[in-house]
This record gives sequence, C-alpha cells and structure tokens, in this order.
Amino acid sequence: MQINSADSRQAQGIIIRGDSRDVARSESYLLNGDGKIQRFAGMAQVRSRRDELMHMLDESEQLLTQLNQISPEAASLASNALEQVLGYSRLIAKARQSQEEMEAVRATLGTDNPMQGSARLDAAVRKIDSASAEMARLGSDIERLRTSVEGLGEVAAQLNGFNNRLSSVAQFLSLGDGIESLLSATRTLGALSEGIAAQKQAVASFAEQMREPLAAVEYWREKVLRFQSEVTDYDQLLALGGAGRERLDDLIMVTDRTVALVAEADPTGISGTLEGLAGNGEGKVNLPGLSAQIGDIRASLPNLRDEEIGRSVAVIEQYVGDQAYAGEKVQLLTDQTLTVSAIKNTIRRESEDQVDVVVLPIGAIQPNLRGEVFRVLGEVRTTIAALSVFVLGILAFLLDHALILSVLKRQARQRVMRGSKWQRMTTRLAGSPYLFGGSIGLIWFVLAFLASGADIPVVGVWGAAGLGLLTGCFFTATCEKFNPVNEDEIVAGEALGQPFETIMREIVIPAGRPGLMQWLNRRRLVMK
Amino acid sequence: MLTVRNLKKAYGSRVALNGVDLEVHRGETVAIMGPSGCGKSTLVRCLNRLTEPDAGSILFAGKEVTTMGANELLETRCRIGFVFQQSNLIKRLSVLDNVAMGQILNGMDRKEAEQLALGELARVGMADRAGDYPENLSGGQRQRVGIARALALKPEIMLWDEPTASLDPILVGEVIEVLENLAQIGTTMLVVTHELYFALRAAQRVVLMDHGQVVEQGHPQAVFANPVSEVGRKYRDLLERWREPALTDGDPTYRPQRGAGRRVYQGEIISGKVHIRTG
Repeated sequence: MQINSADSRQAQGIIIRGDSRDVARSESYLLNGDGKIQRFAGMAQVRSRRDELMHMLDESEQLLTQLNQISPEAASLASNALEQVLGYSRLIAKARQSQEEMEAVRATLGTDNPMQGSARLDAAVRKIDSASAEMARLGSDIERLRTSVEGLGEVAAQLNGFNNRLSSVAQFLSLGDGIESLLSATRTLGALSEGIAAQKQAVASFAEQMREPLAAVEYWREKVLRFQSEVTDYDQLLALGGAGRERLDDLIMVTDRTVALVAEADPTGISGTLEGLAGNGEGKVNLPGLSAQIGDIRASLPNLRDEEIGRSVAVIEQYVGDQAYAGEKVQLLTDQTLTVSAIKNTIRRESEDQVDVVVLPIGAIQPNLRGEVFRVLGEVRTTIAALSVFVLGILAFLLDHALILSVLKRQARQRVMRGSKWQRMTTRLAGSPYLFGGSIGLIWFVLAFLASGADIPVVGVWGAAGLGLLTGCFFTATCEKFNPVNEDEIVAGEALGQPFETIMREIVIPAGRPGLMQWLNRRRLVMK
Repeated sequence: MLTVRNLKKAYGSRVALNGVDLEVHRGETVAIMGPSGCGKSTLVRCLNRLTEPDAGSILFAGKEVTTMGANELLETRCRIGFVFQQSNLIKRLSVLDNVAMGQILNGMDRKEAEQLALGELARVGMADRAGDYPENLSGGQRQRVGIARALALKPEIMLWDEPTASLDPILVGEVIEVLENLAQIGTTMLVVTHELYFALRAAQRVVLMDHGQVVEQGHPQAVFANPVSEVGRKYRDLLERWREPALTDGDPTYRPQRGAGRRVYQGEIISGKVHIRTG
C-alpha cells in the first residue's frame, strides 16, 4: 500500500501491489525501502469500491430475476381483479335484483299464491347466492393480489436500496463511458421500484377500502347459506310461520345493508393500478431486458486489480487525454457529484487560464499510438540531450580544460612545499589539479543537465554530478595525452620574465587544440 | 654581480645541489663543467628560479633572489638572459616575433621591439631568416635565434644551459662563435658546457662540479694543468689525449676548417659528448 494520508490513529492509502481480493489477513506491517517486512503497523480494513459495485450488480440482477418471476402471478391476479372491478356495477345490480326478489317473497307471504311465492323464493336465493359468491371471489382475489403485490414491493424495496448504493459507488468509481449505461439502468430500476411501491400502496389502500363491503358480503353469504339450510323451500317457510318470517326479514335486512355498503364502494379508482399490474398500462418495464443490461454492465466493468488501478493513477501523470503532456501535472481525484464544467471553470479562474484541464476516468486509460510516440520521442529527446551534455562535456575537457589541467599539473609538480606537514598538505590539496578538474566537471555537467532538461533513467542530477566529477578527474589524470603543453615554450616564457597569465594567453592557449577558450583568447592575443 | 651561497636542491631523494657556492663578477665569463648529472643545469636554472631551490642564497645585483616576490622575480628574470639547451623557441611565432616577444610583452612598442630584435638577429647572423618559423631552421640556427631572444632583453648577465649539447659537430661552431664574440665584448656570462676548448679559450674562470658540489674552480688553464679534483684530472687526461702537441702542452687552440660557409670541426665522441680535436 502507498499511504496517502495519515494521522495519529489511522492511515489511508491505495494498493499499489497485489489486489484487495488477495488479502487473507488483516494484520498490516511496515516495509522498508527494500520491501522487507518491518514492524507491525496495525489492522487493515480493505475496502474495494469496485468489488462492492460488482456485488451490488450481482444482487440487483438476482432481484430482477426474482421480480420477473413474481410479476406474472401478480399480473394474473391483477387481471382477474380488474375484470371483477370492471364488472362491479353488474355485481351491484345482481345484488339489488336479489334484494328485490327477497322483498317480493316477503310480499307473497300474506297472499294465497304459494306457487308464485315458491318461485320467487327460489329465484331470490339463487341470485343472492350468485351475487354473494361473486362478491366473495372478488374479496379473495383482492386479498391474493394484495399478498402478491406486497411480495413485489419487498423485492422492489431491496432493489431500491441496492440501487441507491449502486449509484453512489458507481459515481465514486468513475467508470467513464460505462457510467452512463449504469446510471441509466439505475434510473430505470429506481422508477421500477417506485412504481411497484406505488402499486403496492394503491392495492393496500384498495383492499382497505373494500374490507368493510367484503366483510359484509361474507356475512351476507353466511346468512344466505344458513337461510338455505333452514328453509329448504317455500312450504317450509310457510310452515315455520313467524319464525320463518323473522328469518326472511333478517336476510332481507342483511341484504339491504350489504347492498348499501357494496353500492357505496367505488372500486373503479383502482382500475388504473390494476391495469399497470396486469401489464396493460403504459411504462411497463422490460424486466428481462433490464436484467440483461445489468449483466452487460457488470461484464464490461474493467476487471483491474487494485495494483493496476494504483498504477493507472500514476500513469495519468504521463498520459493526459491519451497524450503525453510536457510540464507539471496536477491530478485531482473527484467523484461525479462535481460536474466537469464546474471543475474546469474553477481551475481556469484560479489559474488565470494558464492550465489545461483534461477529464478522464481512472481505469480507462489506454494510451494511443500517438501518445506513445510522443512519450518515446520525449524520452529520446531527453536522452539525446543528456548524451549531448556528456559529449559536450568531453569536448570541453578535450579542447579546453585538458590544456589548463596540463599546466596545473606541471605547476603542481614544480611547486616546492614549505612549512609544516599540515601546511604542505593544505597547499597540495588546494593546488591539486584534480580538485580543479573534478570541480569543473561537476559544475559543467550539472549546469548543462539542468539547462538542457536532459534526463536518462536512473541518472539524475546527482548522477550527472558524479559523472562530471569522475570525468573531470579522468581528464586530469590523462590530460597530457589529450592536450599536452610544450614545457620548453612555457619555460622560455618564464625565462623572459612573463607572468603566468601572459604565458597562458600568448604561449599555452594558442598552442592548444582549437576550442572555445582559444577562440575567446584570440581577441586578447598580443603576439598574433 | 651574482653570488651563490650554500645552494641546495633535491629531486625527491636525489640530491642535485649540495651546498654550492659561486660568484660571478660583472664582465666575467664563467664556464661550469662537470660530468652529466652533477647538477650544472640545476644550478643555472635555480639562479633565476626556473627551478626552485630548496635552500641557500642567491644574490643578484645585491638582491636576494630566493625570497623575491612574484613581480620582483619577473623583473629580475628580464635582467637575466637565458639560453636553453634546446633553444625553446615558440613554434607558432616567426623568428622575429620570437626575438621581439619579450620586449613587446613587457610593453615596448612593437616596431621598436622588432628593430631591436632585427639588430640582435644580425648580431648572431640570422637577420635574413627573420620571417621564417623555427621548424624551418637548423638546430644551430634555432640556437642562435634563442641567443638573440635572450640578448634582446638587454640582460645584465647571460646564463647558458649547455647551448651546444643537442647540436651536431658542424653546428656547434655556429654557437661557439657567438659565445666567443659575446665574451670578447665583455658580456657577463655563466656557461654550462662540455666544450673544453671554449672553456680554455673564452672563459676567465672554470668551475668544476661533481655530485652537486663545486669541487674546483679557477683559471681554466691553471685548473686543467694542475687539477686537484677527480673531475679536473679527467679533463686533464682528456686534453692530453689530443694529438696535436700544441694541445697537449697546455696551450690548446683550435683551427677550424672552413667549408660551405660553415666552420667544420673534426672530433670524436667520448661519453656522448663532442670534444674537439684538430683535423
């Protein structure tokens, strides 16, 4: 892991080697520079947004499959309920007819027309039986529908929960083009679960609305069945006398109350919901299609290991928008709650439009050929610059400094050391041509490296300094081979009473190899 | 004019000068002789500190040379002409520029310096080669140019470091002739040489050195006639080997043969040095 932030209690970082799926133990240890394990650092808590996302996509797909399995049953129930709701007025009419028949039977009890009374009683009982049976079936259907829709609602509620987290994790991960597809799916899932929740609410409300009429119908049906068991025919009704009349009156009273309650109920308001559930309404969700879409999104997720994601963060340093950018780069990691335009505007305003802003997702970095070529060219350029620095340094030593070093070595050889041991050593060290050569090499190489922007892998500015030092010392040791001085001419100059500067200017430098120093010296030369 | 006292110089563990005492008077020509490696060249180079002595005193015109500051030393060097064994001419400069160089760099007007240089070149017989470059001259001619360069400084004393050592026998005469001429006009000279006949003919005093010390000095004829040192005896023996009687009786003369405009000497090589005998 590479630690990005830390306080006294905890540290956070990204995995740069391995993958969170490889983590078997939660103990963490510090590593030294060689990658060897040092002391215990603490307990690690691994969180992989990508794995979370994949898990949620898997769960969502399963829930959609489950939803798809439940939906046909719910649709069938809704269809039945809808049919009955649409035929509710007919049920009311049937109930009223049975009510009228019962009134007619009661009216015949005071007359001497047993045949008519018997026929009317049979008709009334049949109509009541039929009407109550239909009403009871409606109640049963509504109850089953309610149960089914509640099951749908539970799945939808889970789906909605996953969907919210899915959206959040997907935004954090920044999946590039894939995010639009995923967000589209999550929007559809959200609408689906909200619709199902609304339907569940509507069905529950409808069931509550129909609870009292249906209970009355149930009671009415029990009364009818009891009446039928006690009064098998009109003759028995007559034979029962007052008791028979009471039973008939009681049935008529219950029928009146039931018909009144059923007539009060208006189930047509639920028809739209039922149509939706039955699959006949608008906005029907293609659940298999949505499930397949979720599956596709999951399959298209970059199956990167955490170390690859960690590297991709580093790769952004080199590639921005598939191009190799020269100059400094600042990498901002954000989730997608921030809009790109807002980020760009802020950066441009703060930087006074001096910064290029390129937006790209992590994990979707695919350097193209052009970018690669530019990168390679950049490396070649810096390498050539570095080699040029080296070659120029060599030439400078060959053409110019080797001559000076040769003179300095001659002087060092001739120098008579006097004084104490330390004084002699100091004098020897201060006047050492190796000190001069090494220093010149170091300064030349470092300055040239920095000025040219030269760069070679591994060889940094310290490498250049070391190289310059070594080159300087090497040329100090071998300078006489490259650019020897004519000892006789120098001694002749000294014998003529000329100072060192004049000897260098008039004798040594003009006799050396052509170079910058000789060119510069030409203007000051007296003996041309 | 020049007084040397207890001069010492060592190159590492090898002692080149081991307490040399010497005096040179104005107008005097002193020849320093001795076997190779006895410290002759070191001595003469120490006198103007081309080689730094380790210890001792060098008084030149009353001033101590060994303790002089840099500027005073440069001024002193301008008053001391130095002729090298190899002439040490500046190759990129013409003969005239080589001779005029010292004065020009010391601030003299270029034309005036060149006139002076031409005069000195004429003195050594090289005026007609003023426009040539050293690489086109013979060894003897280069040496004569070197002499002219030293003379152009108008020195109070001339130091010669084996001026004929690298010349073939034919060319030696050219240099010797210049030396003799300078001696005749009273130029103060200290000459390190192996040329016996020059010492005998031109030097007022000969100084014999061995192992970094002055072992004997005096008038040349006196020294070589009755040497007290081993080196002196060797020189005496050498003189006695000369065939011509006139040379063996202590009155050596040379009779140069003239040919093709040059003096021609005949001789034999002994210990790598050319010694003259008449032909």
